Amino acid sequence: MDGIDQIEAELFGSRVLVLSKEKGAALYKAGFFGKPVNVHKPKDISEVNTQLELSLFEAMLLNQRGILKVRKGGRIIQNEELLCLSRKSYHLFDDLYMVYKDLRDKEYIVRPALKFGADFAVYRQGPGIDHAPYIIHVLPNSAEVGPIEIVRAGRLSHTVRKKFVLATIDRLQQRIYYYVFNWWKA
Amino acid sequence: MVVMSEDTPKALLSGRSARMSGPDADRTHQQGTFGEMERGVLTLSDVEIMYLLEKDKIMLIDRDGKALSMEDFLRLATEEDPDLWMRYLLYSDLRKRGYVVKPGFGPKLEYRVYRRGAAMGTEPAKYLVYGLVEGKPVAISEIAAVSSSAKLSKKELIFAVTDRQGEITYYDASEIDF
Repeated sequence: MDGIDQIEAELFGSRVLVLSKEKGAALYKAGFFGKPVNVHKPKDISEVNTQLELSLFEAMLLNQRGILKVRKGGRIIQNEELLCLSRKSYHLFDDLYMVYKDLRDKEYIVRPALKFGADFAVYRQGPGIDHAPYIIHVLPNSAEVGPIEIVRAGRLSHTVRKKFVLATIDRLQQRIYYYVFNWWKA
Repeated sequence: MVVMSEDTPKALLSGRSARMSGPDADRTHQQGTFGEMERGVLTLSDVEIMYLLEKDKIMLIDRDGKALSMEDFLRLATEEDPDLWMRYLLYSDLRKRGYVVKPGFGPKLEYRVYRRGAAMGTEPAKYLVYGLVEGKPVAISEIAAVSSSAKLSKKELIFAVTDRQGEITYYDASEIDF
């Protein structure tokens, strides 16, 4: 993240846009943050000339790290306000953010994984560079795990041919456990 | 009605386990694959009793000298432990697949499982099999506990999921550190 100046993003409803095309590209380049508007799987970000849309998880993290200022209407909002807003517009934001932040802090590239039927795709280098990301499903409010969750995780690892990871949050210990399940031919 | 030949090894019921001694004990012990042998007395656990009864390998005799069938024993022992059938299902499924199965470390649905062809008494169990039952969620802390217990004892952790009709599917579980 070195060499990135303060960047400004603006809230439109609950969507976060970096309107400066140069700064958006720099942010994407710095750690695969956000998605260039209307560009599917950008090959070379320097050729992309659009705004950048950030997820609320990304906006929250970058804001906490002091890289991103978030504007709403005519003013810059504080981190607490961004958190309140995120909670309102994204179901179980806190659980997912805890996992997102944990992985980003460990310097992984963390991208959405809705198309894989999960919460996050985790890369070591980045999409397009390493091809088999870990697919993370966060067990929300996870005091308990149902057997179906385990079977589903095992099945998905098998069919998606990616490592499907179940992230469980231990609220008491304030830590996250990650598990991988694979069908075992007994 | 229990019909068995005269020389079927006899096990004496004692609480929820059964004891055997003499040549019968040695025969049933089968190089350490069944029961715990101590000073010539072999103690069989409830699931081992069930399995051996079902295979007609032992005769189970109660205090009054009466022979009990597998069904008799199941009825009797279920009064004390309603999960006996579940434990038996998992035990016998693994046995039928050729593994030697020993009790786990905790009171839960858990077994230590040796690799096929393991030399009993000289090598540790390779797997820790933990049972889950459809419709019954388990606490995250419990998963974390089994996982760390498997890690500490250097065993592969296997989750055995039993469905509502007793069908079992196995999943290899590993905790990963990002």
